[in-house]
Amino acid sequence: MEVQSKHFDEIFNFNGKWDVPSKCGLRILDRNGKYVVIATEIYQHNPGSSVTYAGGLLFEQICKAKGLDPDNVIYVECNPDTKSRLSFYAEEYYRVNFCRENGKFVNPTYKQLSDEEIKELIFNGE
Amino acid sequence: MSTTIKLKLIYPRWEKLKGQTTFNLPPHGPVVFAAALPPHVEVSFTDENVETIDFEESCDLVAISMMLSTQVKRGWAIAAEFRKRGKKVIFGGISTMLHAEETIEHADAVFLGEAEGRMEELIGDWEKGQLKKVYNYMGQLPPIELVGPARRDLYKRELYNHKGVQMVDLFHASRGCRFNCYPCAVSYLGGRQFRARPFDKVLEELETIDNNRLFIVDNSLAQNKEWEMQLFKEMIPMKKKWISHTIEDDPKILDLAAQAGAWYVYQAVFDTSDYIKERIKRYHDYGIGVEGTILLGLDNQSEDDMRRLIDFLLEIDLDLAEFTILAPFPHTKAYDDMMRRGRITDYNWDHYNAGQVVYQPAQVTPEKLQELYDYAWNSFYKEESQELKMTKLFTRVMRREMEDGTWKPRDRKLMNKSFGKDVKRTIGNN
Repeated sequence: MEVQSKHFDEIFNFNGKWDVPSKCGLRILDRNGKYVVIATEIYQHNPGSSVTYAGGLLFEQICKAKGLDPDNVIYVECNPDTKSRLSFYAEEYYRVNFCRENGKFVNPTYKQLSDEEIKELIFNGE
Repeated sequence: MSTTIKLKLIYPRWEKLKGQTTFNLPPHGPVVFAAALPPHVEVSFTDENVETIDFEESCDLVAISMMLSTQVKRGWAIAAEFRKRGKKVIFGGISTMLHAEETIEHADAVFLGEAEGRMEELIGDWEKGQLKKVYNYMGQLPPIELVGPARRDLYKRELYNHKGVQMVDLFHASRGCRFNCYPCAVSYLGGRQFRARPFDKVLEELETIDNNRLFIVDNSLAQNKEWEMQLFKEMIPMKKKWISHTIEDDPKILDLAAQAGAWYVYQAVFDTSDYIKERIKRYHDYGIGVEGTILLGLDNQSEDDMRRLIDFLLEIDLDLAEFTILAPFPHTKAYDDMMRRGRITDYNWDHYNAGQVVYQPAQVTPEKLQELYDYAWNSFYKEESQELKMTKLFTRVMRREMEDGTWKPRDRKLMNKSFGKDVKRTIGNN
């Protein structure tokens, strides 16, 4: 399944678990100085760790590569519909928060965003 | 010149699925790993599924090869025993990669990735007393040409024998998988790119296998039509008989597969559609048997759906069926989806045998899903036991072997043995 590029502005290369070369879609939105970072899973086009499995590793690498202050970022995972016969989820967006331990971002917690929240946070902007 | 190193290679045991007839096949991963070791490493192999580990056996180094999540805790326990005795223990294999972070805690070294071309480094480090904690080759796939013939000479052949019948040998002609199936971690482990071994290497290895019956364990043969057809053409003169995963649904390819000795295939049955019914029929039309693999507990399955699916199997003339419960193995989409929603209820890897519910199903309770799983096994094999259905498939392959002159009689010396253990025969009606 081809993930449509409407979901992201660029392909971001990152090191997944065990430094496996990995890729995701990335869009960064500036919301009055607060940044909304959307990492999109691209399935077949991602040769390594999934966005979800990479979790804090990916978040850390995005912040570092883009010069973002992690405390000033709203981090969102997007998992597009795979249209697979064995997968059952339409496109989903999750807001993800991490705990910080020894400088690492660990123990993610997920909150699925409603359609309204997605519109408000991602599409409507300010 | 290097001194000989004695390496003890172990494949940990696991609990087999309830209700399933146990057939212990000679494991493939350990002997493929062993083929990558430098020549001065002398290997002694123990498959704990068919024999007991001798912890006192003299050796320099221990390697534990693990394929399944249900093996990892046993693997860790085995490592602890050897480490108590002062031995260094290295881990490798598929489930080492899936459970690497935890396995490191139980190991002197973990090897992540494919072994070909990398074992000289690991063994060299051990010889220098400089074993690293992690040999990380994830995502760095070695040239496929380096994959050599597996070390099948390490098997104790009599242990893979049931009442005189030799079990199939496992073999692979390719690695990697271009598909992205919901419950599967293969693309993370072996890469998303289909990598075919050169035909000369494939044929050379096939020639060395002293067994007419094989299980071609490639993730799917239906990855590249040209390659698949060429593979089957090359195999025709060998007259092997084989089991495999899915074969391309194309009359030309099915015909070639049949000529090349396709015995039966594992085919996923995921719904009650005409497509599935016809797919099974097409295999049968070419004389290829079908073992349906049925995954229960998917999020789109209600209790009624699962019951309908189980009943449907009896209508479509499957030769065998294997039922499993969805397990969210790490590095699968199933894991990601369930983890985000907080639905994984059990992280005890012993329970990840695909026969136990380890998550909150979407449409039924965990108890109901477990009940449906038992119902599936019981109802499919109610009229005819698994052993009887297997015997029918077996008879079919024997007939074909007799026709083409490849049939060999049972080994009479092992008629009263099953996987190394004595068979108690009951005569009469008792």
